[in-house]
Amino acid sequence: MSLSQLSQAFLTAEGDKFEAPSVEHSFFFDKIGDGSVIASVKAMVLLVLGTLLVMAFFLAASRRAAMLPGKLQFAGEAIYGFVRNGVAIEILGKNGRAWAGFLTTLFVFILIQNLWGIIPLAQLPVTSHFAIPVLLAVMVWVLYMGVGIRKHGFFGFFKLMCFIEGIPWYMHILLIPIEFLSNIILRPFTLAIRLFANMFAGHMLITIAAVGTLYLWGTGTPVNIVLGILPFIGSIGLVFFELLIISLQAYVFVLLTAIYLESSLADSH
Amino acid sequence: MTYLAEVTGNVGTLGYGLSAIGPGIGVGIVWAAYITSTARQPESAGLTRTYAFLGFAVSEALALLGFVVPFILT
Repeated sequence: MSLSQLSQAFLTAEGDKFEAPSVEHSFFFDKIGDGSVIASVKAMVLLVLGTLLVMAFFLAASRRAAMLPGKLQFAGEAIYGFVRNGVAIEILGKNGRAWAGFLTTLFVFILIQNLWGIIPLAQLPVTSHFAIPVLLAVMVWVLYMGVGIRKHGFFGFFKLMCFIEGIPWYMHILLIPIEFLSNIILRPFTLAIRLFANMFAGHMLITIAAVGTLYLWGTGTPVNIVLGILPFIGSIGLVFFELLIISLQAYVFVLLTAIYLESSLADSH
Repeated sequence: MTYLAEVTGNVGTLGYGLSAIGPGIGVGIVWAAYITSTARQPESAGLTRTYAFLGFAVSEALALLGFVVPFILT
């Protein structure tokens, strides 16, 4: 397939006018049936594949634990150690060791699902489908609510979340609703939307740069071919920028999970 | 009535642009404060990193809410 044909396949039928790739085109190109079921086959395959990869990696890394670690064991221990020491123990303190396994799993899972966005041929971040971050955020919400209620009791937990001690009584009228909103309602929303929005926007940026390159080179005029070098370099630069965002978002998600768990487990203000 | 200018397309994108101003400044201030504190007291880098990320996440939340609006109001 020649370059112009390739760009034709990506663009509109007339081909002489650039049209930015739509959300429909970039994320739901493989809908099941008539589109009444919003499901992407590619995302589902990558989701399962990524989960299996995470399981295989940690099983292989921990299968023959030796005093002198091999390369694989070292890699597994480095990731686990990073989350355990850098996130779990640093934020959760003496409870950190118990939560380190969960936080590491969460971190590696989000990392691999984000990483699909820049791995050649896969190139679709699974977390850019809103359902995945929502599921993770709901899981974290249920977990920190459950842990808090188990430790402090139902009313004790809500008092801990909404009631700030040591302020004038009339400030409570203002602060209790704000604290309730931010600690109980908005936390899962922002957690899910942060991950989704970053992956979605990043994937969209790369797609627009790549489709723009294909369009400019496909037109065939010398000026456009020279101009097409700019989005070409841009799309490669954006992939490396995405690598940064991918790791940062996985880290931020796990860090915030740990902070929320800590706020539920705290003895009192 | 004569129109001087007209906006076509999704107006929500303008809303996102507006909603990104505040968080942009806020996130900048958070990291600037983190860099300043680390430069003054390098040992405190690990101690303040958690708060830096927490402040970053809370400031960024407003931009994220703005980001969703164009998709809801299509």
